Amino acid sequence: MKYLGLESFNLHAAAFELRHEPAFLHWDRAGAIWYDMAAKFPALKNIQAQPGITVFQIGNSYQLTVELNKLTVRASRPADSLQVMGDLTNRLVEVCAFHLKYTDFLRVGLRTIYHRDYDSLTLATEAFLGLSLIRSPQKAPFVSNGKPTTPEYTLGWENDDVGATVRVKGERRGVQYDVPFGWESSEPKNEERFSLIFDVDYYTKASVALSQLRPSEWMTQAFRTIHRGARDILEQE
Amino acid sequence: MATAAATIRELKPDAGTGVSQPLEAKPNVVAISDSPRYQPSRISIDALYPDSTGATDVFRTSQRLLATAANYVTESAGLRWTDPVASDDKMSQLFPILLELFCCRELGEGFAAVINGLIHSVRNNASEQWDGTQLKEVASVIDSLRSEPYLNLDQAIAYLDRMERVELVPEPPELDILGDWLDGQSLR
Repeated sequence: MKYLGLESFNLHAAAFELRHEPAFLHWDRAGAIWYDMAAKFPALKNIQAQPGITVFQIGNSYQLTVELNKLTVRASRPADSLQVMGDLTNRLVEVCAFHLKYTDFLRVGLRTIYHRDYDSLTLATEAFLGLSLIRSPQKAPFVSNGKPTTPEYTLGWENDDVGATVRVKGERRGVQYDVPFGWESSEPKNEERFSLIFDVDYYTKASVALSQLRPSEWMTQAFRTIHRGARDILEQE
Repeated sequence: MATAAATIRELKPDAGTGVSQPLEAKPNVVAISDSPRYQPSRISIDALYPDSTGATDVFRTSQRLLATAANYVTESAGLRWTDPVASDDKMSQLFPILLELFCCRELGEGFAAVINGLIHSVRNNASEQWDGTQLKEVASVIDSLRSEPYLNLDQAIAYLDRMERVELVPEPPELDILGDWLDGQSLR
């Protein structure tokens, strides 16, 4: 067995989520929540504000969402330690707990999405099949001389307290944009990327009291749990 | 908690017709939260934070020390009738653990307040024999603190009240003198 190594993947995105009973005070106190947050993080910029949801963003890196029944902090390409995300989340949970009177959470979750880039989808698919997560037929069915594409594997595990869902897939992603007429400094772009994606959602099943939870502490431990478990998935034959 | 008995309406025979009628016409309202199926089970602290190697030093240390502190109190309670001296000795051993736990106060002001209260309770009770109720209360507070280390100040005050109810004094004795002085009693 060869370990593909989570270290050879890039942490593409991470998301922390708290689910709770509907907090109707959100209708009254959304402004106070973001006022308190902006006092500590002045770079916060409003993206969306509706009665049931408020979304703020810091640059292109962090997105914070407060809804009636959940709170989410998303990070795009965060540092590997998730420390900044943890500090941001601690503050948001503290402020929301004060204004929205949180006491218990129905679910606490951390989702991490890793990418490992390849030169083609065929190579990404070969890497996926090398993990032996699924059994592929020797001969391509339905299509003569066909080769496997868009491989995908999803499986979850749960006990009474916590659960985890892992998704591994080969994927083609593309970006295409044209330069407006008269714009001189750039060329039209058509870029494709081929990746093996390793996506883990680790979450609690039993309820969690506010007095049990320090988000940064939990995220650090959940993150390590994900790293440890990754070894069992990413061992290549 | 709604019981089966609460859902059964009492019947009494109507004097005129002999037909049984509901004793009271009030509706039988049961809150959703009364249902045993609704109560979500609370996760244990060990299941919530499973990776002690990935924990911050302060969290790991506090959990270890609280477990040790709980052991001392349990052992003290076990020895209370057979060997009172050894029982007291165990409570004396608890004191330095509590002082060390106070160094973990960055966990939160609620945590700091409860540890501070325990320190004073043990110190103020040093010359007395601990009784069973007091030991049980101290053990319960330590267990609760281990399960919910990020409690807020209001929750901490509730724990301090519990300690006071079993005649522990979770505050420095100097506070009484200061209180008296502020009341002007020291002038009498």
